[in-house]
Parts: sequence; structure tokens; C-alpha cells
Amino acid sequence: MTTAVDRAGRADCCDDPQDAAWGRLPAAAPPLPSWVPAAVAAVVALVLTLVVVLLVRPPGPLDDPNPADQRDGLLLDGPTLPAEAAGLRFGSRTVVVLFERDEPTGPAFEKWKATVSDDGVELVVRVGAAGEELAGLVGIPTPVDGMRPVGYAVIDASRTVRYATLDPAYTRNAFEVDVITGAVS
Amino acid sequence: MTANPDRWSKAYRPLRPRSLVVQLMFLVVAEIVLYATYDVHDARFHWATHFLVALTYASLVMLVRLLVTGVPGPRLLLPAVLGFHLFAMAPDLLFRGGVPHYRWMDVFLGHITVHYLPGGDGSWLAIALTSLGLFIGALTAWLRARHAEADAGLPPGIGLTGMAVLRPQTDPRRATLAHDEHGEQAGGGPTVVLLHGLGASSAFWRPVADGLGAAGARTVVPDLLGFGASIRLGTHFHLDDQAAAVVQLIEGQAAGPVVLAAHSYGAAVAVTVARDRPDLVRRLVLVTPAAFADGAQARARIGDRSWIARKAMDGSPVAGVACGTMCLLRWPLTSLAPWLAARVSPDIPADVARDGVRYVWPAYRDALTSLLDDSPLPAWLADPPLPTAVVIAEDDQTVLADGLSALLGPGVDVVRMPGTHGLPLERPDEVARVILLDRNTTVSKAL
Repeated sequence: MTTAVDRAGRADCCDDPQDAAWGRLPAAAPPLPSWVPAAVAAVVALVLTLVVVLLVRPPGPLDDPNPADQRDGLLLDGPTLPAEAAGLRFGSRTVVVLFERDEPTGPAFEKWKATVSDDGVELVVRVGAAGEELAGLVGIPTPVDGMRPVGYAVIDASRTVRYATLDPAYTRNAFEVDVITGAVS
Repeated sequence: MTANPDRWSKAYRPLRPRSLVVQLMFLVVAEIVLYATYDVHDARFHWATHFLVALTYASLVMLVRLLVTGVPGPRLLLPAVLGFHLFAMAPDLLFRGGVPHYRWMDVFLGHITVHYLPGGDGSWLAIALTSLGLFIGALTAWLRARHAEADAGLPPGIGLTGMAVLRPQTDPRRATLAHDEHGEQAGGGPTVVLLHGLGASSAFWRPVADGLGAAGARTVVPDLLGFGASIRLGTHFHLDDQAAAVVQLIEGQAAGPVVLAAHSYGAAVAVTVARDRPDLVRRLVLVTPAAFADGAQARARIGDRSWIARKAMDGSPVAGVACGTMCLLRWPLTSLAPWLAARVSPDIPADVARDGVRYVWPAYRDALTSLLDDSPLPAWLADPPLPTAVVIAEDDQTVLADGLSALLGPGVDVVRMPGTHGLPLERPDEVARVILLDRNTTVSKAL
């Protein structure tokens, strides 16, 4: 087999202007110079790198060491608590246990509290060492700083832990607690 | 030759600078809004993860599309990224509507699982930029190739896949069709040129060419533009283009007029050559020529034999995608085809089976469409200006013997043989004898 043979030296090749006209039609060449996509992609790569590095911050001291596990919105089929544990009774209604390092106060907390408990959900706040036993039972993670957690757990009416997450900015995310309690109630 | 600027402008539509600038602005504004909705809830890394996943998928889909169809797209390139992003973050939108996350939500581009990739957003950034780089690399090569073709005065290779995505096609005016040569010129007889049919190559004629060579005829068997070893030659594949390439081959390879023999679709090319340059052709031998009374009959007969041909004739994009996928997988398929053929149709030689997947989609499509409404065959066969013989296969299911007979005028020498559409493979010796026939020899004497 003779493969396609280059005939660049052929004298009479392409001399006919009609024959050579196609590529010279205005529409024949692409409307974009070939270097443009690479240039745009380089700018996009730079901007995205800056966004990821600068704006998407690493976990803070109160956050979960594994960001994927924090506020993942995923319903658990977690441990079942005893009917009475850490001075609380479980099994008759959905309970939200808030773990805090200091007594929560202020209008943001009051608003969060009202939102979380407005549909018959019982809200329990455990501050500092008082929440230690319960935190262990519900399996709430330990934050980056290794100290006590700031976050919450949701236990349904059959005493199963359905959600347990760290959330140092929980007052901004009352709707998330509502979604979880709404789904398990 | 007829150019098709409509097809070019359609293919170039996604790359119009003004449109791209508007799309980019739209994408940036939309993403800033989406970012803000996550930022309000201190969930920026969720935005980043899903955006980077969306960018990865969008880049890979656009890369595969470019490789399979030979055309960049979709028309709205950049909003496609936003579309992927909205799909990837759909569970978050559902969450805002009161639905918690469930494992099955991984159907949204791995919405749950993607967060657990080691390295988090840093890893996704690397993956997304790599995917984007692959697509941009292919797109840049495609643009370069099309610019190079335009600079050379060629129509752009729109819809060409395989290597044509990355490198410009060779100008058929500057190169000769790839071809096989058999035998030496003996006794001053004419050179025989054999043209193959649709989805085939010179390999199809090898048994006949061997017979012709043994009989002392010099034989030249080309692969038509876009087929076999000429796959990298040309960007436009209508009958006129194929005929021009064959004319160029004959001018370079033969001292005088040739006997031009052709099978099936190749007959349409042969007749175009004979019509345009009768000085180059001494005699035509058309073996089971793809001649039909009209376009409707051509559609019915060819469509009945091949699914992909039927889709192509209907103008369905499915055929192009199927063919483009085949081109993408050409390397394994060329190895697999002979193995498959040996089990399904043991009579088909391995090189014929292999070359059955060595063609570009536009060459196949344009060959088919040339048989529908603009075929020069019926007019030629009714009253051939040059000596013409037609070999009819009595059991041909593609070109029915009776239908073909009805098209033949009194000036056509007719030879009927038992066999199917692949007659040159089934009866190479008899076909070779018909090709060597002198006009003064009777058919019965020759056979």
C-alpha cells in the first residue's frame, strides 16, 4: 500500500483560483483565534485557585476536623439512647440537644430557639461539662481545638440519634435544624 | 464543487466571541449569586466543591462531545457549566425546601460522596483544572487545525473525528490517494483502476486485483477520500471531490486511458470521473452499482440493509454520534473487527473487516447522500457515452437485480452472476475476467 503521497511540489496544484477558493470564504476560518481558549482558561484557573485558597477557609478551632462531616444534612441511623440518660427522658417526642461552651444569650439565640422549638420539638441546652455525658452518647465529634463541642444533636421519638453535628455558627442556620426535625418527627 | 458555509457557521456558533463574552458575564454573575447563598449559611466550601465537580463534568462532557462529533458545543458552552452546577447542588436546593440529604442523592454528580475526597477542595481544584486543561487542549488543537485548513484554501474539517480533531487534514490537491498497485504493465494493455464502495477500502478489491495482476494487467486500487489509508485526506467528500481525487491519481499513475472498475457506491464516483474526464477512461465496469430509480428507492434499499445508513439518510444526529464513537474507539475496533468477522462471516477477509471501521463520518454520510437525489448513475446507465459494462449479482439484496436491470439502456454490456452485493469477494476470478473483457469479446466467451 502506498499511503497518501505528498505532492507539495506539483506545479499545477491549486493554481485554479476557483479550486482554491473554499478556505478563503469569510466563514471558513473559525471565529476565534486558537490561543484564546488557553488564555481564558489560564485566567479561570488563576481566579479559581485564588477563590479556593482565599475564600474557602480551612476549618476553624471550633469546626469539625473533617469539613465534610460538619452539617452534611445527612440523616443518621445512629445509636439508640436509653429512655433516660444524662438526666433527660427520651422517647415521647423529638429532642434537640444544643451543646455550648458558654450559656447562650442574646436576640440571635432567642430567635434560633424560637424557630427550632416552634413545632413541638423539645430543646435542651447543655453548657460546658454538663453536656459531656450526653455528647458521648450521641457521638458528636470533637472540634479541631480538642475542647468541648459547639453544635447540636437531634434524637427522634424512638430515641434514635438522627443527626449530630458541630456548628459554631448555629444561630445562622436555624432552618437546618428545622429541616432535620421536620424529617424525623 | 459546492461548499457548505451553513454547516461551518453552525459549528462555529459556540465560539463567537461576542456570544462567549455575554455567556461569561452571565456565568460569573450567576456563580456570585450562588456563592452568596452558600456564604449566608457559612457553607462556602460546599459551593466550591460542587462548582469544581460541575466544572470537571462539564469539561469532560465537552471533551467527549468534541472527540465524538468533531464539533465544539453545546451552543451555550459556558452556561452549560452553570447547568451542571445547578444539577450538582440540587440536593442543597431541596434541603432549603425541607428535604434532608440521603445517600441516593449521589445521583446528582456524587453530591454526598464528593465531599469525602481526600484533600477536599484542593483535590477537586486539581481535578477540575486538569479536566478543563484537557478540553481546552483539544479545543485549541481543533481550532488550529481548522485555521490551518482555511489557510490552505480547504473547507474546514467540520465533523471530522479521530486524528482530524487534533491535526489538519491533508489537502487532496497536494497529495495522491493512498493506493495499492498490483502487477506490471504488460503488452501495452490499459491500467485498471478499481474503486471501492461505502464503508470499504482497497482491501475489498484485493482478490480481484491479484487475479488481474496474474493476468498481466497493471492495477491501481485507491482508498477514496476519508476511507482506509486516505482517512486523513480531504475535508469535503462529495462525488465531485472524490472524482477529482481519482482524476489526479489516474493522471499521475497511468500513461493513457484506464479501465475504471467500481463497486457499489464507487460506481457513482467512476461515472462522475468518466463524465468529467472522458479522455481518461477507456471503459467502465460497474459491479453491483448502487443505482436506484430515485431517492425513495435508494432510501428504502440501503436503509433496509444498514441501521446506521438509515439514520444517516434520515439526517438523524444519532448516526453521527454512533459513527463518531466508533472513530474514537477505532484502534480497538480495528483489532476487534477481524476477530468478529471471522466468527460471524468467515468469508470476509480480515483486512476488509478491519477497514470496515476505517473511515470518517462525513465521508460516509456524503457518500450516502450522493446516492439519494444527485446520483449520476441512472442517467449514465440509460445511455452511456463510453463503453460500460454492468455486473449484476442475482441474489443482491441491496441493489435488486430486477431494479438495476430496469435502469440499463441498450448500450450497456450486462453480465449476470449468482452472488450477493459483495460479488468481488465472492467471485473474484469471474469479476476479473469481466474487467479484462475487450469490447469485441462476448461475455459468454470470456466466462
